[in-house]
Amino acid sequence: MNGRRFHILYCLRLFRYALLLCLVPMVQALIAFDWTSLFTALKQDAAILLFFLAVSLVRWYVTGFALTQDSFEAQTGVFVHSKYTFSKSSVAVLEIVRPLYCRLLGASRVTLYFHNYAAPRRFQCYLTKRDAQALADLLMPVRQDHSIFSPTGYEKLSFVMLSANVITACAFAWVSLDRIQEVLGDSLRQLAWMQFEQIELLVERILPAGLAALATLFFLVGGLTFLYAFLHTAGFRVCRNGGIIISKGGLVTKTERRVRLRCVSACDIRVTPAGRLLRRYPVFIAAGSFTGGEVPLFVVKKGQEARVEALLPGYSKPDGPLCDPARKSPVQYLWKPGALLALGLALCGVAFNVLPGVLPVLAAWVLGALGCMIVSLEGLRREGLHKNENRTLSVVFTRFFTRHEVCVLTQDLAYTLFEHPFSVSEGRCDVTVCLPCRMRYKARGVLQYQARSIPFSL
Amino acid sequence: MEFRVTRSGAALIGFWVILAGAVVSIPFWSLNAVAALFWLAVWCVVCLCVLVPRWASCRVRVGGNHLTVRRGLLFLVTKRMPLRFISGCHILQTPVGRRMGGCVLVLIASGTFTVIPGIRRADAEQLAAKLSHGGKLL
Repeated sequence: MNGRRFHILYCLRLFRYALLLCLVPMVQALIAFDWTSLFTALKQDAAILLFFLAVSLVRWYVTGFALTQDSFEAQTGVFVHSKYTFSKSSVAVLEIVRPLYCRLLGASRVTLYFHNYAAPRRFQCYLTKRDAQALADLLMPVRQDHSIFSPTGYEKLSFVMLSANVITACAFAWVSLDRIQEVLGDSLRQLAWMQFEQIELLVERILPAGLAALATLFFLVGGLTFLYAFLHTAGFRVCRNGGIIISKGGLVTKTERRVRLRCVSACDIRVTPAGRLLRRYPVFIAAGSFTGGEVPLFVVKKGQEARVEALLPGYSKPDGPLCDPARKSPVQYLWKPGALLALGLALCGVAFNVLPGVLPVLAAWVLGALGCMIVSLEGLRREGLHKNENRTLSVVFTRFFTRHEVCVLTQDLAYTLFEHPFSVSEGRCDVTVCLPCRMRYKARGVLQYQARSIPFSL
Repeated sequence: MEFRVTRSGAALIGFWVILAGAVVSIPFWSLNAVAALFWLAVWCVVCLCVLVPRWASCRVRVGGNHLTVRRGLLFLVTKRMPLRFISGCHILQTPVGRRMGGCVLVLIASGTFTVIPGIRRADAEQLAAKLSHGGKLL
């Protein structure tokens, strides 16, 4: 160990909780113009801050890391020391993220994802920008990077739209709102709610009341999601050099990800409803314990899936039939969306007589269930798996509105076959493929003799 | 190479599971003893008629490249793991289990794990020895 320390942010994670503890009573006293309370709060805050600062500094002083010729060594802990040594070859993915607060302080958040199934599955630390770059160059050296994918124009627009993740964006917005509210009080939430009601009133001039609220919510969430996706994908480009794939981009939060090519375990092309409209599909990869992240590696135009080979040489489209739809059970595929559709239609029938105002909202439900049913029907026709001639495994399956076309490149797989009395009598079973990153791909209605003959030495 | 779970081993695990159910039911005895007794009886029936036969039906087959665990009577589940990627093999023994020569075997592979309750200890140790040599030697 040559005595280099992590960036102080690594230890100041404790300190930020202390800051929150201090800010709330101080802001409350300031808003109430209560100077006596303010001075008391300031004294308390000073004591809390000093204590947390001392703990953080001790923590920072005893932790450290070292870069040797072919490994990264890290030491953490105050009373119980943990020493980690990660060799070059064990790292599957290295991710450097620089959010705004890190950039202001000259820090980078580095996360290492490992190839082998061992503890820890990933290791995260804060380093200075220079150290992070040195670590990246040591573990995954890149001499020159030729850009393979740098979206512009319509491609960029489709990339932003296909990278949009409603759940992440909403969670991010919610956490941000909560953080701001801790400082400013309830006024912000009330203000947001008032604005939402005003927009809803405006929309109500065109649409019925229930549907207006739904449409406003839809556009609000959609706007937030696209803004979030735009900020994360600005200046995005993907390169490949030797055995490393590099993807970097982002406006406020800058992200650089280096993936070791030989550790890539699966490539997932997701045929989403937005992708069908834009005729472009997002491509995600899994490597070691890394599950693919939020932003796709790149987008591929419909019919040009072979372009994925430029980035992943082992990739192959299924070179044979995936399934025999005539021997599948339609009930297995259609019961869930069918039940949703039937329930929606029944509710529509009731609402038609009792509460006609709710009908537009229920119509949205019925449309959603119908979409789900169409995708399930597609699954009935396409879902299955096939062993390709280039020793890869193709798995196609549907989940909600999305069809996943996966090419599994690793041999490090486990399979689970599930059979029940009806499927046994008809010679079918469900196959679940388990990847090292704990992702599972389930293909339903696979012929039993095919499932049993899947060899492990692909 | 094939191992199977013994009936006595599965019954022993069933006994522990019933005992765990009885411990969980203790706080409810003072509230409604009849209902607690009824649900405990249901739990016993489920354990003895469903879980124990299911565990007893477990077969472990070690092939040239992979390990197959097959269990279930009506609902068959077959799990297959490549031998060279099995990264952990835990053998859990209780004092009673040790006297009866049984144990619980936990196999950990990439992204998944499997629990084989009630396997004979000698079989589990033989399997562990094979796995410790990367599935190549016995």
